[in-house]
Amino acid sequence: MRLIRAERRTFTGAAGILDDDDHRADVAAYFADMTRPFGAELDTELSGHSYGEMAKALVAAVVPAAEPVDLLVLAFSIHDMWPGRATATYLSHLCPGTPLSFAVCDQGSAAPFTGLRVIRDYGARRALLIVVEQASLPYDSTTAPPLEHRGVAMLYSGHPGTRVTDLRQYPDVAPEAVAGLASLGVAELSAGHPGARVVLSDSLAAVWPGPPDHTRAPVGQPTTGVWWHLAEALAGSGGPVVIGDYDRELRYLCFAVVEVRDQ
Amino acid sequence: MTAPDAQIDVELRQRVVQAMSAVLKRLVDRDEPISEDMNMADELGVSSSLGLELLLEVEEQVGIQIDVEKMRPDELRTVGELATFIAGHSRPW
Amino acid sequence: MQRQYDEQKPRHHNIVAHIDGHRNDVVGSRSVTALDAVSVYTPAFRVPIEDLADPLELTDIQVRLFRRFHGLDQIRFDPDRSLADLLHAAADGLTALRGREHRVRYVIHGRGMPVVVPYPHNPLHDVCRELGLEHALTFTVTQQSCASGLLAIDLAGRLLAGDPADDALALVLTGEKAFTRDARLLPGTSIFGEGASACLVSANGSRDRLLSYACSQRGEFDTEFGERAEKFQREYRSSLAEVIHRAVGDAGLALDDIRLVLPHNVNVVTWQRLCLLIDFPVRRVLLSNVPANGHLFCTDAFANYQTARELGLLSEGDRYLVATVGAGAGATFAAMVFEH
Repeated sequence: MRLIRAERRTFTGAAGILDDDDHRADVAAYFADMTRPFGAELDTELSGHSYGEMAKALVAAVVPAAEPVDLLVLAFSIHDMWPGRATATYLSHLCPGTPLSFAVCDQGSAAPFTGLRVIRDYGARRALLIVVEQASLPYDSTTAPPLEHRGVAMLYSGHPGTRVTDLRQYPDVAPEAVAGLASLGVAELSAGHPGARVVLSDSLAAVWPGPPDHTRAPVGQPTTGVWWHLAEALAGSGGPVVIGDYDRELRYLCFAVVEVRDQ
Repeated sequence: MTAPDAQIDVELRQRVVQAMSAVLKRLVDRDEPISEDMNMADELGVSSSLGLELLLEVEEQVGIQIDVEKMRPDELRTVGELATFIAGHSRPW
Repeated sequence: MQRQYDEQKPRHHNIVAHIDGHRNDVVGSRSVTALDAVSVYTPAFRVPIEDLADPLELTDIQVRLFRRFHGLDQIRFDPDRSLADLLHAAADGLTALRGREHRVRYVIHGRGMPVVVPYPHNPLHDVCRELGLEHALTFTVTQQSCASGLLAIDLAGRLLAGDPADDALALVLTGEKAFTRDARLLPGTSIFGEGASACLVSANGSRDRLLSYACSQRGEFDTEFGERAEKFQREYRSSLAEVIHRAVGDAGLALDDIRLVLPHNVNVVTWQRLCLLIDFPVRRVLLSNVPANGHLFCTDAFANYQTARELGLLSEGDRYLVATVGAGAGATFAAMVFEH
């Protein structure tokens, strides 16, 4: 399975659908019902983006009409401003090939890695992994939202005989154990893929014990961070890229080695 | 396939047609008379949910219980076809 | 001890899952996914649908329709339990889990409502900690509406098949709160209730083996494309019939080989009409939970399975079909065939 195409975008403004008064009222009611049992107060202002809108643009950019996709996984952590929408089903209709589509969530920054695992284990010929996060919540949260609305769509292509992506996900890793486990994991993966570039999330880079021979994803984009830089790797020469991420809240340490196609 | 008309109680069928017309006029807000050959979906704008409402109200007005389990809505497009089905597939409430 | 999930080098039992790009269905060419055990939790408290007329803003005729044709009677609710409590209650009933927690490598929550708690609350992970399952990869799959539960089973099977540990297990959880209007009422179709299920899945079990899975998504019914309720109603039965036929065919069977159908419990009239369409005896469709529960989101299939077992409706070797439609703008039709 190889990464053959990617599109990454920062989105500005708010979801277009919030301009519709009826929809806005429906969404406000949904959020009110959702936050009431938690005693959180709802903002009167609703801003923030919609993953359907963001992903629609990404899909259009990364999947040509003549190349059908078999599987589409939408990975997110923070929710968007159309929380009740079956966004993945909507995207299935928009994406060439009408792929089997669903969302993976409630797993923090590990969700996209799980998405990659699912893609691998389905053995799809062509699969789209879309990682999204948006920057606005209509209520106070203990966790700060990301700085910007961002999305990364990655088209993976698998053929029999193609090298399968290495994937390692460690659940329940205490913060103090991260450094040791991470450097071990990266060393092993890099050894299996000489010349691999390394991209680490800022949460992981922050506890990195050795010299910084890696790219550090910027702070403030916890879900898309490493994938944003992975997408960049397509602009250069091909080869393996090791990406690593640590979700402090849910204690997942994840690594993947992605073979980036030579352009 | 729905059974042929052989055993239809003509008087019952007539009451069903009258009830259907009255109910339909109210459901689709129509003043003009309704004839048996009218296609309910296309000509009268009866949706699936209105269709169920129609059945319920006819049941209550005529005092019958329709064997809905045997109903194939795709084969009952006109007022007349549905009336025939109801008259042949119901029992007193 | 750190557990890791890593890729093995070429596996001799590599799964070939061919995906037909034109119809977004997945034809699994293996049949090893198995349901080792199922536990269902349904609250005792029930409300007659007449009492829901005011809160759901239903007219008298709408309530009478729900009762007369849709077959709804009472709806189950659990006002004292949160989502985490519901999931926990279902898992508590899963005796097969006790002593085997260490073998659970994946916990997958199949959920119809995509977002149900404020960020970053995570009742799923809270429950897993309480159950001693912190070592598992735990996540939610959603955005296939009420078909997300079947997806979770298929996903569980595939992840297990790709896992190097031969004795790996997955826990599939369903359960939701009817917390907002879209999670309380499907206009003209059904009323949601509350319940939960926990299902232990293996990749090599001997009973309740998954023979096939067919899924068809109809994103064209998303509200962005306008109000299409009538078109959806017209195509509903044929779309459901299509996935049923596909699942049955992919299992190498004919419809007549299906001993029992475990439907989604939205209403009775849909299944009566569907049975006429596909020429399948409606007495072989388990519909008794429609009046008993209401529509329990992704839990219907499991609740029906439980009832089938309790009533002794399945004998060893029987093939049964589970079918569901996730609706509510954007629709997903899904069907699975199992061998008991």
